[in-house]
Amino acid sequence: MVTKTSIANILHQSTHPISLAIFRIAFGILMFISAIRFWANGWIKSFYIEPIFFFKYFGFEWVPVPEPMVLYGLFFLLVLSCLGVAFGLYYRISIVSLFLLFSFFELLDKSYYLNHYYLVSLIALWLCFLPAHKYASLDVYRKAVSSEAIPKLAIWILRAQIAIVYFYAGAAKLGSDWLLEAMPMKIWLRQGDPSSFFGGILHHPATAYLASWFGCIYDLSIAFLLMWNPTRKWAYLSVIVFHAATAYLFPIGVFPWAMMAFTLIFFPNHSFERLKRLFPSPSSGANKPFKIKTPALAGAGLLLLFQLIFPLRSLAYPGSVHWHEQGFNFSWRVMRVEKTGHANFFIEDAETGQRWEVYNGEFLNPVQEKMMAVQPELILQYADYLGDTLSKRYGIENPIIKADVFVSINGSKLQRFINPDVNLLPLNDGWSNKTWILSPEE
Amino acid sequence: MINRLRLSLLALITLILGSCSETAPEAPSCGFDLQGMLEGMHSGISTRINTAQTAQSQLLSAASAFNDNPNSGSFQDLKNAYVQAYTSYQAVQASDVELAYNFRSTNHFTPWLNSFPTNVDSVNQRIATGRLNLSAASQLVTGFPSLDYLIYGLGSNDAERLTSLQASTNARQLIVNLSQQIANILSEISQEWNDLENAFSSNAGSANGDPLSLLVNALIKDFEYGKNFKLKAPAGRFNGGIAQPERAEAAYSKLSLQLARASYEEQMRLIDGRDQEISVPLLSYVRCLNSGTAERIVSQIAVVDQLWLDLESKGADPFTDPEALNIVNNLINEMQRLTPLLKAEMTSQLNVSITFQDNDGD
Repeated sequence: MVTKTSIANILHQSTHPISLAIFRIAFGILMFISAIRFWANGWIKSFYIEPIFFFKYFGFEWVPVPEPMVLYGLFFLLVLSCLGVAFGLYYRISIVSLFLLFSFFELLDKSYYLNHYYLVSLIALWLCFLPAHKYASLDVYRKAVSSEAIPKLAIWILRAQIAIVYFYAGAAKLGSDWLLEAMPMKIWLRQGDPSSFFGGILHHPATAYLASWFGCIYDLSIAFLLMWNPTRKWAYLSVIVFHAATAYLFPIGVFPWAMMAFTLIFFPNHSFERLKRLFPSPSSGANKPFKIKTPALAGAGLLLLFQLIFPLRSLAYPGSVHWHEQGFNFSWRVMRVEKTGHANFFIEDAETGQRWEVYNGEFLNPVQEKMMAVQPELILQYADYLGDTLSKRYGIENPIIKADVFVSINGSKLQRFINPDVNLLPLNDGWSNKTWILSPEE
Repeated sequence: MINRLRLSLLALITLILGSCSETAPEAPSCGFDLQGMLEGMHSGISTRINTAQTAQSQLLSAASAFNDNPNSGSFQDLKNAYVQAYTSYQAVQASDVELAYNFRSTNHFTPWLNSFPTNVDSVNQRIATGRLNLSAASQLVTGFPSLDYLIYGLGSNDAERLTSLQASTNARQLIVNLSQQIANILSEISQEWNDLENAFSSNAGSANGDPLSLLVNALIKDFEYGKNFKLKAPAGRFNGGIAQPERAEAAYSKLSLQLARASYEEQMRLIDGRDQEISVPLLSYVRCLNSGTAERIVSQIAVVDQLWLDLESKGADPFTDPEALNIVNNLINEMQRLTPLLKAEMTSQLNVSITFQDNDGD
């Protein structure tokens, strides 16, 4: 139970820096692996160099896409920053650079949005302000900083961050499709031959129900179970089992391994006694009173509050967020819905009625095209680009852009997604409800 | 405390039942031999690749014979072999998967074999300058489209074509070299495909890179390729509705309709069977997973099939005859309706992600 005393303890006490140092090292190493993998897979080229059009985040349309050499240079700096964070070398510069560069690459194209990339940006942002280099770091070794105790609040901020992710991911699963129909888990577990033993288990509806309910309960409760002494070890075991299973079943990159590493922050310092012996003890002891400046406290509070409120914005829009996707991103709806679609665009000359079809492959790469077809914001951005580009190509003074878009959600019968008669060009993206999105048939 | 628990439980149930509900289909547990289906498909496609290879070796022989002795008889043999080889190739294109994607370190082999229309200026320049080595040639002067120009495009009738070819040793040698290059590529494809046999008989997963995913991705990609470039482009759908017959596949030999139909038939053979060579097609598995999706696809395929028959029975050039062009446009519209059924609904049921490109999710 959280009491006034425990809150005061968190706010004003210091603690041994080892768990924050472990978090920093794990974060740096995983980010380094992730960045190298991204580069090795050729994704810098295919995501940021080859496309001729980029989907922008609302409010970040100004973020430019640099020349290829600059892109590679910046990515190389990102890789170095990851190492700097892992080793705690020039830590402040490294983590600020990691945060800025990683977020910059994320902001280049919205169609590559991933929940775990958002989480990485948030954690990097927190680490910019947390003293994660005051133990087990090269900065301590080279005497740039002294090894000393850190505020307990630093640990609790990261715990809160992870708890928010898990809890909202669990809350998002409180839907009848997830719990009563085990969708889309039934689809996702169609791995392997249904006539084989293992495939038969995965294909069996009972497995999908079990996985759906376990996933929901796990997400809703895991942070609390990790915080509580009697359940922590078992909870961490379930973290390993759960994320190992997701790593096996779903193509979600380093995310499962990252969560296994990040959740170590829930362990108390005495769990790492053996590791502590590897490094000199901090100069200042643990549990000494600590005074955190009010602006820092207010900033941290505001960022946490923002994260509590922002995921709820989808409630302001009528209909299912999984259908219209207004307020879908940045709300931890991790692995929540199976949604596929296909979009066919047309440009018309309002004066002559002449009509051209658009070959999406000319302007978008396969990932962009796939994501665009199910996200109204991206449909609108693409329509705007087509209007500009094709009206010049065909010499149209009054262009009209329309789209035939069909979407299947959780494997359901295809449904028309947006009004095919609406000219998408005059429409602006924003916070207001997009009335041109059709309601799904019941 | 108990009241609080009851209230919490009630709130939770209300939240669950009141939460958004996607219209989810029934997803039965089906005892389907997916591995058997994949093995059958691998075997069926192998047969088709072998057929294409045989047809290609006959084309190479006919090209060599014509090069040695260019007369009307050997020219006719060359044309017959060319039609057979190009038609047989359509089956290979529908199975342009994984390892074959890496052919020549590019995305896939289709551009090397069937980028149309060919670059006539480059081909003519090669003939004029004697640059007949194709090892560094671009995709726009390789494959069947260049052969189409060389065999059917150097004159307005057979007599003129034969005369042109008789007069040009370089053109005849280029036909041989192109045929040889296609044969080499098909040989590599065959090898790559044979190497995949083990994967098709031991891996029934649906994740990116698994045989089912590769096969479905290749199939959908080829379906889109056929719809967009064999039909939409020459029908003028990308040109404000003004037909562009010069952009058709095999525009010189006027084989466009035959090849487009052959390509479609090969795709449908993998989807709904068509003949006994692939006895368990994809739709068998889709039907097991969700009969509603399978029926919607079957129904739409029937509409498309009928339009192909209508178009063929017209017996006119599909991109110059107005009535035939009208049917082509109807056919495109119906294929357009089939596209999301295959690309979105079917793939969702199969748990196959259509990406054509590697990336992470969520």
